[in-house]
Amino acid sequence: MARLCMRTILLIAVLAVVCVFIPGRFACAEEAPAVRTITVEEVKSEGDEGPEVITSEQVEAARTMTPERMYALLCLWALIILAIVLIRFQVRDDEKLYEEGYYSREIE
Amino acid sequence: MIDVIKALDERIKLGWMISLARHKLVPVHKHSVWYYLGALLLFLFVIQAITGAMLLFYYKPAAETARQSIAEIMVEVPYGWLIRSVHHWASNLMIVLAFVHFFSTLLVKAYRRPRELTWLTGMVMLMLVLFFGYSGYTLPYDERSFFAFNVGTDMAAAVPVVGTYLMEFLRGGDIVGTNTLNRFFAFHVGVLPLALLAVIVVHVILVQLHGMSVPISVLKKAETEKREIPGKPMFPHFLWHDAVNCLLLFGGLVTLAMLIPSELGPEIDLLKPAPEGVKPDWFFLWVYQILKWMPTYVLSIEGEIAGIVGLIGAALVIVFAPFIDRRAQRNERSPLFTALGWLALLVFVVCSIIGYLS
Repeated sequence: MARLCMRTILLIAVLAVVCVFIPGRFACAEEAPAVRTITVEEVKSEGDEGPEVITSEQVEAARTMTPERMYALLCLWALIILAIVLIRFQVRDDEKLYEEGYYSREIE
Repeated sequence: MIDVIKALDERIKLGWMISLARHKLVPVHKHSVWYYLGALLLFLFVIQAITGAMLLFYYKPAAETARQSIAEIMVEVPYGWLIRSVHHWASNLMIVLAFVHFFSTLLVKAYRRPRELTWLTGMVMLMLVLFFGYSGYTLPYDERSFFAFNVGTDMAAAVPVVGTYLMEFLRGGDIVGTNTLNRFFAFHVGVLPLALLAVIVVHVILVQLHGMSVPISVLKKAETEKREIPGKPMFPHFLWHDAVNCLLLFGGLVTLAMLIPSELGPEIDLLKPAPEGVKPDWFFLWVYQILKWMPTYVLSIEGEIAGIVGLIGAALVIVFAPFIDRRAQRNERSPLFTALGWLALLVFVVCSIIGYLS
């Protein structure tokens, strides 16, 4: 039973990764811009501008709930509930072993 | 899995640990629910360590760069907003659970012999967790953090005798600036984690050594009925329950982080006057409210100083409760300390609510 539980949890974890992360947008999945030569003037002018300052609006936008985030959250809760159900089975199994006196025996 | 356990047992003698856990019984009674808090706090500490280490890769601890680096974490770092929000909410939940653990331990008199040292290490941990929360609150170095720095370090100045020295030590000078931020950063990522980890290790060893404390009422009832208090093995029963609790806590934590992500206040404007109603973070609101109620002078002593001395005195009574509460040490009911415990809880809750609403 314990082995079955472990395997099921592993399987669920793999499924979780697939469910939660595949719908998400990855930077690496975006189309790369075409290669072009950057002139010395362009580099100089970028250097003069200094680092890009992030505005409060950008921070607020990052904090906003999106449908993708809601989906990810629901997937997470589904996994948690499933894991809890499996643990309950395991606990029931352990209770039976405990009543049979298994845990009072020395480990071989 | 079993092969892995056998292989590990051959090499690092894992068997004795499992055997110990199987033979360690946890009492089962109506107050057993309080036994789960320690594991939840440990779980939150691990989450804090992981998310904190992730944030450390991007955070730049200087007055000019701190706020901007947090904005970058929120906007540019993949899942940065989530990691920061989980860190923020885990710290708040850790403080909430630390207070619940503290009050439950105080009210069931779990500090009774031979657990005095366990209680003392717990009190040290509570203080470390509060300072952790405060130091983390100041690190974004936005407007709110700046005033939190000023209010907090001003409060330190009111401590009798060592106050001025303490304030200068915390600020790294006379005024709040980069030195202050650097000091709090050093505390937050260096001193406090090491100190907390060391105390956690001692606390957990002591808990394992003495086992769980059984409330006096349960002991008396079992004595009257002439029966033994039932117990279940720590492993696997309680560990599975801990796992369920940790999963639920993790779900709640991520939900909070996604629904209410942590904020970033406006930049500091030194020319601007302090906004009205500057308050400390929620876990110090009760102190703030008590000090606010203090009159200007109490018996020719400055009100704020008198208030802080009073609070330190009350804290000392609680810290040394195991040595003062003689009745509980004899496993007798001690209504005075029960009343003190409820009073402390009432003051904490009511003053925090009034402080928040005022």
